[in-house]
Amino acid sequence: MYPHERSLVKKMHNKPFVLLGVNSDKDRDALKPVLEKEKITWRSFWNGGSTNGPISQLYKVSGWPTLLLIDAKGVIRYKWLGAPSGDVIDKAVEKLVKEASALAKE
Amino acid sequence: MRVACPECDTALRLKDDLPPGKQVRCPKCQKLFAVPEADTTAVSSKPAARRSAVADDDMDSDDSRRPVRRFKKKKQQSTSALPAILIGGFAVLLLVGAAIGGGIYLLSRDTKSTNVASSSTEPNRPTPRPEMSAPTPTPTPPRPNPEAMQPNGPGNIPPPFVPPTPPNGPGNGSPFVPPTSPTGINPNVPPQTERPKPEPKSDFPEGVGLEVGKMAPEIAGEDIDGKEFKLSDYRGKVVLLDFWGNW
Repeated sequence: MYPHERSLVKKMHNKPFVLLGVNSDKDRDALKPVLEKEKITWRSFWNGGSTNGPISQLYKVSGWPTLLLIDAKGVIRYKWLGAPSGDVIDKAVEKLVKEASALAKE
Repeated sequence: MRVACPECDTALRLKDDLPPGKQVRCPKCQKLFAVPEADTTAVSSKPAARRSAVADDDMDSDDSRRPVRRFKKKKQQSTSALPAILIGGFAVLLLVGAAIGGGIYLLSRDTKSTNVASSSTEPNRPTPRPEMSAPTPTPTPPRPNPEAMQPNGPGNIPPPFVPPTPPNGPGNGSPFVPPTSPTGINPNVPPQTERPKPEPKSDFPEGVGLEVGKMAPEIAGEDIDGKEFKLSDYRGKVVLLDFWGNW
């Protein structure tokens, strides 16, 4: 998961794309070394130290990982429960990034 | 000769050479009956037919020309025809009585159920009573049904009426009005089905939701370093939102 996310973030560096996490780990301090070790540079919401935190409750997430791909207008366009293959994510991201670029030019 | 069918009273023309006592079938009602004596033709009603059968016996006993064998045969048939007619008439009376009784029973049940229905809905929803008056007439259309079922006798009446109540009972009414009779639950179906619908919508404003095609609900929180930020900060960019944990 992390390697693909790293490469995706790198590939989309100058594109209208951002990877955001919602982290449900218990201990923020224990997580910080992991972020460094795994080179997790992207930002994550803190879910209150629990899988049952406010954000996962708001989004009714009950399985991990769950991924949502939201377009430039804020509309949910894809939803994956469990990690899909990197190709699947890449294709969907590229499609929506194209849409976002076209939208920006208008 | 002309004969009236003992079953349906249809006037029938028989060949004159038919021996009295011969079984013939009425072409209208398919009833088998014995050809009566020539003297007792043109029977117009059932009681008359019964009387004529008795008369046949008297005539037969007086008639000396007829062979004994035939006389015996005739007597058997005439005596057996009498109880048959009695049973037939009794059965008809029974059917009509049962049908009328069943009809009255269903009608009384019907009115009872509508009464219970209207009284049970009043405490629940006092304001939309005009709406509720609409469902109460709907139970009345089934009234023609019991009447239509009357010819089938009483056996068919309870089953068509019992099934409609359980589907409504446990499905919709049980959490709401357990004490009322199962028939009274029917009109509570509309409020029950209406209530769950707005609830999912009330979670999010219009157009916002968790399904694909809906606006993602706003997230306002803080990051792992405690810095506040929002999902909508990234509007204009494609966002891959990853619910994750390092476990």
